[in-house]
Amino acid sequence: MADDDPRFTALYKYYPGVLALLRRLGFPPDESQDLAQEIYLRVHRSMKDYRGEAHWAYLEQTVRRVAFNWIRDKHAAKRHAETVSTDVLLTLPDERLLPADESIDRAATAESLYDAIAELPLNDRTILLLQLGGASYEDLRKTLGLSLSAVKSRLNVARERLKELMSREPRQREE
Amino acid sequence: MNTKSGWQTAYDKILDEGRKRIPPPTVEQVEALGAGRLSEDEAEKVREALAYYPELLRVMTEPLPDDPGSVVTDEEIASGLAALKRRIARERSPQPSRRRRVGRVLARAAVVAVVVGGGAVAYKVMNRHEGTAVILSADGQLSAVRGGGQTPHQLSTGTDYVLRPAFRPDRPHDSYRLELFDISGGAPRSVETWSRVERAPDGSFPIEMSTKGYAEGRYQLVLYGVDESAVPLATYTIRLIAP
Repeated sequence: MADDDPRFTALYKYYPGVLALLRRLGFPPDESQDLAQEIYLRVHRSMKDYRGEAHWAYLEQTVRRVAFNWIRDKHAAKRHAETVSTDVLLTLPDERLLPADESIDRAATAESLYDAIAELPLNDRTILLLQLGGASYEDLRKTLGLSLSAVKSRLNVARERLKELMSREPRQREE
Repeated sequence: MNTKSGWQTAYDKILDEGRKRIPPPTVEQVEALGAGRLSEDEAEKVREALAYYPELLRVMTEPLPDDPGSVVTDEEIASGLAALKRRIARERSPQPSRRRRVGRVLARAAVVAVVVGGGAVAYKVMNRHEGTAVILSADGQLSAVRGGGQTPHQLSTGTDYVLRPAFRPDRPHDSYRLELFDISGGAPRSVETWSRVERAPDGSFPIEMSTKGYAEGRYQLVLYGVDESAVPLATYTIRLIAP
């Protein structure tokens, strides 16, 4: 039985790490416990496929996949049914939302920022939104498949374009 | 007073608009992106989707806590591990034989007939679960999810129930999930989830739910069909009151 299986027993000692990662990801305590148990049950059911190596790496991948699907399911449910707001997750602190460029006016109105960002070319908009969403340079490097210097350079270009759009009069932007 | 910066407000609006246009990426897509297995076109689409769902990117990139003890308490760990071991033990308990299963199916079929005839007491006696059995009928239109359903099912606080939300899906799903939301206050708040709920032969999705620890108020149970993503199928409004 899997519970007597030393491979599974060995995984129990990583429970604190699993729980801590879920909490770090923004899941509230009750939901973290529920998810942690779901993760272990899933591992328990698939012990026949597990070779007993790299305990933590195996659990970590399962944690990230289960958490990802959990959040994705909530988004998908909202899209399909315009149902309840279940955004229990990941409200990012304001300071992470500000690009490190003091020259872009922090006091700019939300509307003008929205218009300017929406007008950016896709690549610029994507990198800027990813950074606004909290992605670090390293995250951007991996996600965009670029070198660190290319990430910085592309961010600079995006900010310059944004600055330029912001500096135009509304009518000019519409044209 | 609006304390949100212009950036935050604009960002929220952009995300909201983007999410209406673009569905969240799948974990397989994001893993393939990270492994460099996507064409440039595909990669661009996944990156754009991630830009509108930063929490999904964060799930894949958030570093591990160096010291779990700084994030969770020993009590949380101990109670979680104990509950997990109970669930594992329950999961590995022997399944009933085929003969017993057939017998149970027949018994439940009989139970349904009795309930339809008004014999709710017999239903409770024959049901194998412990706790008060309650059959829940769906609210009707799914649009009712937001504002609360029609006549709520009235349950008592501090009681163990077996809830049997009844629903006939148009098509089978890989699995089913039930989620309970507290809708008493402002924004609905998820308070409990039952994953991998099985559809019983009587067409219901039985779950054991204890209302111990829940406050009086209005709740909503949502039944999801889960395939690649979860789709809400039915909702059931519940009002919890003191016995």
